[in-house]
Amino acid sequence: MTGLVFRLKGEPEERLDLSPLIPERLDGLTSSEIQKLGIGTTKRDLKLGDVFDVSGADVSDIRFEGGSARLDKIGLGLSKGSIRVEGDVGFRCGRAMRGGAITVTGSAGDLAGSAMEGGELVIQGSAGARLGGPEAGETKGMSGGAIRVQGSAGERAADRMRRGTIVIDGDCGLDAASRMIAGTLIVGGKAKGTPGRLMKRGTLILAGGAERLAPTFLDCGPQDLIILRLMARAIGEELGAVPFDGSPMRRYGGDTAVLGMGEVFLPLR
Amino acid sequence: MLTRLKGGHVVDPANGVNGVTDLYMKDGQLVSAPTEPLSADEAIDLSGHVVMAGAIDIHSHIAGGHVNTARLLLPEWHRAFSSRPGETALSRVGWTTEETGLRYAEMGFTTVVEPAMGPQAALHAHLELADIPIIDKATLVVLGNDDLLMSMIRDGESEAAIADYVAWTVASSRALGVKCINAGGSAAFKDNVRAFSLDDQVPDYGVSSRQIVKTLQKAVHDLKIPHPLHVHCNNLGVPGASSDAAEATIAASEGLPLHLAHIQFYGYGTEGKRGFSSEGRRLAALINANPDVTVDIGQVMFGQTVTISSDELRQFAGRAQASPKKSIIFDHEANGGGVVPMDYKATSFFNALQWAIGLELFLLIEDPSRVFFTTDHPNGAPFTTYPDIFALLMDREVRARWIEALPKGVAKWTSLPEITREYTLEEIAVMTRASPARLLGTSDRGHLGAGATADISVYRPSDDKAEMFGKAAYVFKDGRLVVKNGSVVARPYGRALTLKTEADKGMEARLDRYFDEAYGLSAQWFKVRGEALGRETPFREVSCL
Amino acid sequence: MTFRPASVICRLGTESDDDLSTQWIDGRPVSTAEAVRAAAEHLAASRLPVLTGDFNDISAIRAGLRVAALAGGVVDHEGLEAIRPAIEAIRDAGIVMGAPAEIRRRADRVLVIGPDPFEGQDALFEQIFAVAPDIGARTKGKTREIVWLGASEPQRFAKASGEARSIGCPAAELTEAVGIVRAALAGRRFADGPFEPGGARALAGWLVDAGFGAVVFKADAFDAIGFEEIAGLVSDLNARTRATALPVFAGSAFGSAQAATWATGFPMRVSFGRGAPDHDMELFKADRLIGSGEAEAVLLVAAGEGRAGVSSDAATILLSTEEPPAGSSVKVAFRIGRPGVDHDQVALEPRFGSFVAHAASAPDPDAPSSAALILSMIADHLAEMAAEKGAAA
Ligand SMILES: [Zn+2]
Repeated sequence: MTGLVFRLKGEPEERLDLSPLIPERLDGLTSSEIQKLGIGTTKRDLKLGDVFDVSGADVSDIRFEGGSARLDKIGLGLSKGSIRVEGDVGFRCGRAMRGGAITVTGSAGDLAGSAMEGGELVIQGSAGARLGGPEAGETKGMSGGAIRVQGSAGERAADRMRRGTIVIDGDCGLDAASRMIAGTLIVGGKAKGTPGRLMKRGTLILAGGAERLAPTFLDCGPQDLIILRLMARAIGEELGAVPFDGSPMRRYGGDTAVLGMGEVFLPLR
Repeated sequence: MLTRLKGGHVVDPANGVNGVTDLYMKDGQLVSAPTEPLSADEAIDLSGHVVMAGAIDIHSHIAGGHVNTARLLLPEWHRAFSSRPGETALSRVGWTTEETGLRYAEMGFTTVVEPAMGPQAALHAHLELADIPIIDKATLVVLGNDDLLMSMIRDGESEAAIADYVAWTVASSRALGVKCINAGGSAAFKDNVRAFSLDDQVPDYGVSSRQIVKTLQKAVHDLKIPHPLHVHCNNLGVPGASSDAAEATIAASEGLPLHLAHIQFYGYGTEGKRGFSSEGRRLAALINANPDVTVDIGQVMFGQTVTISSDELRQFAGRAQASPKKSIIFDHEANGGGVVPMDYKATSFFNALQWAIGLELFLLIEDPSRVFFTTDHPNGAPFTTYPDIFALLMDREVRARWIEALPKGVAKWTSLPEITREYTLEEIAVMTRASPARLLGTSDRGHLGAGATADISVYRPSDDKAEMFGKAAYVFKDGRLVVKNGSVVARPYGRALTLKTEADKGMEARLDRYFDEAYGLSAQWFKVRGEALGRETPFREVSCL
Repeated sequence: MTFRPASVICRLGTESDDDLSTQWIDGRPVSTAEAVRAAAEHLAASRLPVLTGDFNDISAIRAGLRVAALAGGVVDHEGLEAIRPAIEAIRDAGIVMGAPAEIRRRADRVLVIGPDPFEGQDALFEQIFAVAPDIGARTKGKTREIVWLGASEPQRFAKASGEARSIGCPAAELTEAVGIVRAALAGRRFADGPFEPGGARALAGWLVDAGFGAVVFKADAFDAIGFEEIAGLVSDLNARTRATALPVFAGSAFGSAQAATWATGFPMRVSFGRGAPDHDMELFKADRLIGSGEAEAVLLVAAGEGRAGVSSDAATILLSTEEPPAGSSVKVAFRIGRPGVDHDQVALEPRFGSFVAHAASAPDPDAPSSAALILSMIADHLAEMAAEKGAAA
């Protein structure tokens, strides 16, 4: 059985809500039922068949041929199977996913991996703001699973993160790891703004350094920690090579404005 | 046009009717049967249905600054929000003004009272009420933590002067009655007091909570405001102290009527290894023995909700239990308040016992005309849980099933399993129609006699009471069909019921000066004008006694 | 469920149906009825219309929400982006906040943080600072002490009752300065940042020793984390003493946001594209929708004075207190009366902390209709169109 393929007919005029297109919700639907799924976000009541050509049948192996920054909520709540998007995606890709795998060959909009609990999200391009972060009002960001962004990420990546791992190979935007509760964020490039503001616990490995740290982060000196090497190896096995190798880094503790049990590792320079 | 509602089983205890009979309505009112029944222009066959007056909810936080703050605080609970997988209990609530009207109407409720309108937020509350479709609304204005009242008591001003001030507040805010919330508690909290009881004094004023309650009770009585002072006692929710507060307040009624709100939250003792036990039986006995007192329950039901209260001291203390962990606390002028999300878990000993205590009180208070049906929406539970509560009251088998599902060890701490009482249809009609109308002084409703407003709810009888009361077969509002088969078919706008009262001219002048000098505010800002609400008929006046 | 909110009947002022001087279609003077019909049809035909502007009257935003609901559109406010951090911080983390009137009477110590919160708010300043605290066993009769962290206007408190001093702090370091005070309060370690050695601990101690402290700041001067940091400081203080926050909001956005919240559950940036209200601070931002072409029709309410013309290329329905600009993308234009001047107005009053109804200051029977009335008429027409469509189907 070949994987289910959604081929984008052209740039959609409106944003699309593609949350119905996960194995859990597609399983058992006939091709014509899939064509009739409502995916529009305006009063035109757009159907899937208006926007995509559909082929294949295996709902556990979904592929989008052609992407757009207007394709929102791809893989929302995914718990199993795989989704691959050849191109860009819009907002909330992989939000609240609990398992399975999503690969985006292009870039993603805001809230990719928002509040995700498990599974793996790989974005080969860049990600927008609030990578892994919570939706408005939610008190929990990412609480499990792994995200890798091969390009750069926007503001407030890993906001309110509780568990899991995020790796950003490029730079990350302003104020990453804000309000972090636990978990690990690894940034290969530069961390802009003031990372870690209001973080209680958790680990930031900022291999390309940080623009600044708040005075409520205290320098604990250079650290040659075995845990860094173990971490580099373990994460490398899961997500591929990581942008730090476990050699000594300078450790800071904070944010003492709140609990102050978080740690930030910066290069010795 | 004369409409005949034919052959329904009419349950109208206010008029002593409980049997099959016809009703007639014309121009939005019920009228006497014409000499020639066939002269009706229209007949609706209600045979096989139960017909009651529209239900009245005397205590439900549906509008105003605090309610709206709860909406602002909790965007993640909104059903429509970004199609998130899974729904929370509160996502089924009528959360917006629009849904509030629709969900109430679908259950056959046609009048709902917002019980905690701060004088400074009166226009806000009325703007929201004006946007709630179908139902009629009313408000109770909050006094009892205000500088002026406490100063007047301290300075020994006359009862008449205090009554003038109360009258001004009711008239300005277009309220139907007066509520007093942890009298003096918010003011004391502003002075960093963290525990406050009936005989404690508010710092700086030297006035006790009891004095405030008694003064307001007397003023409301002297002004001939139909609804007695509506009291939210001290120490809500505190094991031991709460039931003491309720007991002391019941005793303090002293021959004048007094209404105690959400009494369930006071039914907590300190026995057992968890230090949390039921005082439901004892409170019910006290209430049974004191005919001056009426109560509403504030039933807790399991699930996510949010507590909204002007009891700033209590809400501040409740911050520690917030779930999710966030809250908003207000230091208003002359008042306070707080919004604290709460998740009542069926698996929690404490929450399960709270649930049981509410039902104990419902079932052990003997006179259905002195106990009112509320969840203190949304504090104990959203009002959308009402159908389940009707079933729990009317069907002991339903109750037994719920009790069975309670966490281990709860049942032995409550007398609920031994209670066999089942509310009859007539008792339900007393509790939710006849008696609330009498309590509020709204004699045009709560019954189906000639001259009553034609607010009528019609139910399809069922052994499943939740189904029966969850979706009314028909609802008429002012004689107009607004709900059919549980769905809204028309959405006219109701009115806010307001007390017909006038402020004393001398007090008017005094308050102009007072608000300017004391607070830098214009007294005119407190006045709600109908024109600001954008409705053709924003108000209907209710007479004093 | 389809959302069909309040029909706001706002027959304030006169309906000048025959007055051809206050509404235009493609620059051509027309009757009110013609213009209303054209506007309604245009909105109905649009895939995703967006309503935005300054909505300087709660009646106008209530009517605007109804238009958006009936037209499947989006509602935004041009002042929303500025207060977005405040809304986000409040709903993410909560706050303890106080009314200015209570702060006037009770606050013995006031910490002002950052850019002057009272710029353009003289009445509010006067209300709070004209007198010394006069109630509260812990506060009555005390001389009010004011500390301004990051002072921007040295003369601001010259006329205040009490004693003011300032602590210098660069604007970019205000949030972390607040964080330092929190660390000092909790006895955790910190570097001095903008404070002099010992300064942070002294400030924390000063706050803890207040009878009733107030922390006052400009609501739109901080990002969401900065706002949350200040709210966090106030929350921490309340574990030991009393303190309250006063974020000062200017303009009509916060009032409009409140009205949108009761009507839809959300503080604007609400879309009715699928019927039930949906909310997203980023996706339903009017500028983004117009710029990206996702919205192809705009209804703009320009109730303030001296406002610039219409900048977008999207076909626009303009409700303006001024003559509409010629030769722009304006399809239908209405001249509207000035809220609070020609017409009554309901607005959030900062001193009151709630809504106030203002009677028209210069009511003129010949003034153009209010925005609320025009929007109500457009909504009524949309409702009629929907009813006809329903009947035909
Ligand atoms: Zn209540």
